[in-house]
Amino acid sequence: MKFRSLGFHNFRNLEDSLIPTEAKHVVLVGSNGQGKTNFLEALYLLCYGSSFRAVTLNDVCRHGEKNFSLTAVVEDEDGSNQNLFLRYSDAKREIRIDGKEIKDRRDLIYNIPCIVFSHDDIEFIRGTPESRRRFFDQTLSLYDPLYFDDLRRYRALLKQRNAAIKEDYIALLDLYNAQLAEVGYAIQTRRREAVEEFNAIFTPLYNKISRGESGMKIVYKASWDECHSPSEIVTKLENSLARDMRQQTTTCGVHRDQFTLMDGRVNFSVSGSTGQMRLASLIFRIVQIETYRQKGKKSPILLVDDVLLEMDTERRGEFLKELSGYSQAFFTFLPEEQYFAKFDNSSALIYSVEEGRFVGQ
Amino acid sequence: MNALETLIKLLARLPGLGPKSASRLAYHLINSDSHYNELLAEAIGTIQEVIFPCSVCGSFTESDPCPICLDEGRDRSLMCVVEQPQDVLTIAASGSYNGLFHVLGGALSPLEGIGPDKLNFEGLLKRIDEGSFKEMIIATNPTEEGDTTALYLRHLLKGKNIAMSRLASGLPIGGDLEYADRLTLARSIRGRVDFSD
Repeated sequence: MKFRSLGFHNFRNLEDSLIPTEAKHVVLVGSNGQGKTNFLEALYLLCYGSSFRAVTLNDVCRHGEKNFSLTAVVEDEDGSNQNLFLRYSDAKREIRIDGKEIKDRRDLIYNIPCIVFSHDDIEFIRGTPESRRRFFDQTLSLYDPLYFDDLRRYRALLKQRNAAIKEDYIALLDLYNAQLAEVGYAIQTRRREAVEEFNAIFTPLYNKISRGESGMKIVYKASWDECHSPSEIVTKLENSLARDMRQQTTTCGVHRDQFTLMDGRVNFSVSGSTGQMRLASLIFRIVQIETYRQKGKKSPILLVDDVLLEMDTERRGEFLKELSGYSQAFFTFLPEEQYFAKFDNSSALIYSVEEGRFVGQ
Repeated sequence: MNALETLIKLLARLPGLGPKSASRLAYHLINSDSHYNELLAEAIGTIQEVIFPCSVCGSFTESDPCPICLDEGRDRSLMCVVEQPQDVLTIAASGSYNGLFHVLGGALSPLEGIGPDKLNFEGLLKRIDEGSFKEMIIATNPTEEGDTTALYLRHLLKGKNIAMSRLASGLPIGGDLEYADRLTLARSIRGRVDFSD
């Protein structure tokens, strides 16, 4: 899949325009605050309906405006064109594919596979257990709609069970236990497989790029680790009832699963240097691409936003060499950065970005 | 606020209407035949006095018990349990069901403060104990709340010697596989039914 063009109206600081993007590599060069990341954000919004930055759609309207719209033409694998349209106005979001309105976000997220490398990815390494859980949930959801559905169901059931505890509907807990156990067991099983598959790619790749010999890998510790069937989980939930009632919440379950990045016997989230963590976070994304390519049988579109800065030239080169298996990639760079090695003029479209205006080079 | 603005505001509170469609309706009413407006106002004003829940099944009716409960032509061994009164109409209109109904008045959702005490399970148990039901079709929605309600019914009726089933979910009739969304398809594969001879 490939974006052939992207158009925006009232979007952030970008000047209303239609930008051709028909190239394998699209490179945006500009100083900070000129609109490079906003461009990537617009692409992402058309793929998933929400931003990769922690903002509401109201925040992405141009200053002083209350609405914006985005359009894009995307070329499918079979060469046919798809028209994407997203409009936000009156605090409502409207998304259309070829004129047909998409009501459920679920129908959108499997349309265009898109993976973003963002500055905040370092939180996958440095951050809380939730951030790594989010990474694995995202990786699995990207290619497995049933996992996505199970996760949604689990969250809804968990909320209901917690409410049942608070409202003292004890008679209902058995019903929630049974349903949570079934969905939770499916999630736990899929996560365990996913971690194994992740490590099989991650460990050797990290060693290769970092030129090291570490045994770095993710260790998955499920909250229901010792349970090997839904019925064992039900027993576990029954046994934790007293504690759940005391704390007024569900104290065990896949929402408490731990994913720890271990470097041998050391917790890398604590021991790693910033440079090492940045590299590890980039490799997390590469594994995500590779997994998606194997399972989803499609090549994703990449949005690579300012993540190479903290690395030395050698590692940066290694990283770019390993970056493959995508159908199209968008990169942002600062003016003084050296990036041309990978992007010769035949495969790349290069834009310089200044105050929301894009000028082809 | 003038009369027009008040009308628009009131209309906009109806489900499915936003401010734009509400104002379109309001302008339509201004220009329409005044007799029609009187009839409409009368119908809206009296609906709650005329229509009330059936004391047996909970469906909306103008006479108690409702025509469906009184209909001798219906199979009195068959019971269909639904969430809302409007579900009775939907299922009755399908023409393929000829039993009785029972309306729970919602689905279990502790999040919204709806526990078993807020739904009409008591009336259901009473009807089953006093009636001659042999089979129950659970027609709650295919949502988390509907699933939980179905499970609760199963738990409630344990040992009552009544056959239970639940509406099937999956691909739409006459639809092309090609146009089914991935999740519906994935679910249909998971919930596939035996087809062997």
